[in-house]
Amino acid sequence: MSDLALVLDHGPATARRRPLLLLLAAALLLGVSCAPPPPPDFDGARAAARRAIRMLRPTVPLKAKYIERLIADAEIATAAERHAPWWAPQTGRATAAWLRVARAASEETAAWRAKRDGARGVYLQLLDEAREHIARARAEIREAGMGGREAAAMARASTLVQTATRLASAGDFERASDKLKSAREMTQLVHKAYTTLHARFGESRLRRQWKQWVDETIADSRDSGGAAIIVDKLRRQLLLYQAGRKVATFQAELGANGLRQKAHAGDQATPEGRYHVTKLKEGSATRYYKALLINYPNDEDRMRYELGRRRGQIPTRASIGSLIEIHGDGGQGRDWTNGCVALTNEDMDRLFSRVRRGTPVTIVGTNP
Amino acid sequence: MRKNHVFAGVVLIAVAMLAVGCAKPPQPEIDAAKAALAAAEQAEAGKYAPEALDTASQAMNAVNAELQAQEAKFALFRSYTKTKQLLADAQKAADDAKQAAVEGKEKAKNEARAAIDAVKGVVDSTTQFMDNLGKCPRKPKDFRKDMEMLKGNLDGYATQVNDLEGAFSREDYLGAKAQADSLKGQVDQLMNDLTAAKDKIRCKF
Repeated sequence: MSDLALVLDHGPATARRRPLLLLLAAALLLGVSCAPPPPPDFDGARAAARRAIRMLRPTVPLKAKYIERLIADAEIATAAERHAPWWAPQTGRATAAWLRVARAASEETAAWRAKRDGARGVYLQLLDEAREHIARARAEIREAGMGGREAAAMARASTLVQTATRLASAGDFERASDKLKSAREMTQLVHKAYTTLHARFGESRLRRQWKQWVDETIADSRDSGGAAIIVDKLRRQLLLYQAGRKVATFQAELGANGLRQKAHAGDQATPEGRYHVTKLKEGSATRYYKALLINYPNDEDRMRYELGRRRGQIPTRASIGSLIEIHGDGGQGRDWTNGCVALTNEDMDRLFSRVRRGTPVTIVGTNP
Repeated sequence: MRKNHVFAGVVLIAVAMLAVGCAKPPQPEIDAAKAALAAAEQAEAGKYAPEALDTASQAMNAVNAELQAQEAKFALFRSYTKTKQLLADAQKAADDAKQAAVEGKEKAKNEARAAIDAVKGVVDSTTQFMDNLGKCPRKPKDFRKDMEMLKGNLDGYATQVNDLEGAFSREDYLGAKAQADSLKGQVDQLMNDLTAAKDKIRCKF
């Protein structure tokens, strides 16, 4: 018998045990191959869903609640699967439930982001507009004739924009946009007042009259060979004519309500009409550097004043006013007088040397 | 005789197993925990204490999972001891969330109130300052226009105090505070302008 045969020949006892060993090996193999798979890890889906809930809750709480309910269902499915008896088949219910959670979280988050981006876009656009409108309103509010009501509107607009910026920085773009819309309404109020104020400068009746006054003044200057002054309120210019020829242009400042036609004392409006210099003042005769007193009110001013009083447009205790001058101490870059025309002291010197009592002074809304 | 003893033993064991196997879910505790979570949500925990509400929700999920785990077992082997512990945790977490929400809301309310009161204070003091400035004997021509504008600004700010009260009464505390803070900054700036105007006209009061 060879060595190999000796090795293989285990005798009758071994032969009896062999089927038992084979059975055990088969059972072991079956047991290993049929062992339940390790439970899947849902932590990723769980964490993503939690993040989605935190994101959605402040603005869309119902969506957050929906995902919360899906998580609760998924947790139950997971527990059911984990504790199922060994003979019960694994149906994959937990995996399906967590997939639902992950999908819902992803979709709702994407929708929320899209909505937020849209709201941010609207906000940024409105913010640009609001800043533009505020800049315009700031310029308009400096205009002569704009008053406290417009300043109040401007103040509100400014606060609303600041509040909107605060809300936007907290991520609340929708409410920020609402604030900006209100700010726009406020600046529109200022703009409306501004356009109303300027509407009269486009009226053809007034423009014809102003043109006539200017033409007559220049003609008088030409005929007499003397000086004449024309004040263009809208352009803030004082034009000096000599023998019908324009010899100088000065920047002028008006009354605080200078673009309006003067109606009575204290209205801070600058009158419009044909006047002449009645007095040249300097030194202690005037509180300003130098001054040229004009004959306001003239006959037309008196008629307008009486008419206004009869119609109840002028307060009963308001007088017609007087002491309208062209004076120095100007150059402040804004309309600030009580109705006078102000020049810089240098310009006042140049003007003062070329005029005398009786020099025509014509003040018009604008020189068409 | 021996047969009788065996029979009695079997009956005892069966009764004992039945007693254990009939363990029921702790329904009163479950209802209480659910009610506590609902109360936390009602107290706006989602807005004022989101982290605490998250914790409470997760604790409740753990309770549901454990209930399901017990449901999956053969009736005789169910035990709700751990469920009761989880329920106690969930109940506490929900109560904590409610408490945190109440405190958070109260804090937001107090902050909004303080901001509104601060604005009212500066508006009042600025109005007083402006009145005093109006009484100054020296009023240059150019000062009147400035004063009109500044008064207009102040009027604009003062009317917004009513808006703040409206937002506060609607319980929009965060919005009210944001607007109050903005407004205060503007009124402070106005006060600076008035102080500069006072110096310019050399007024003393």
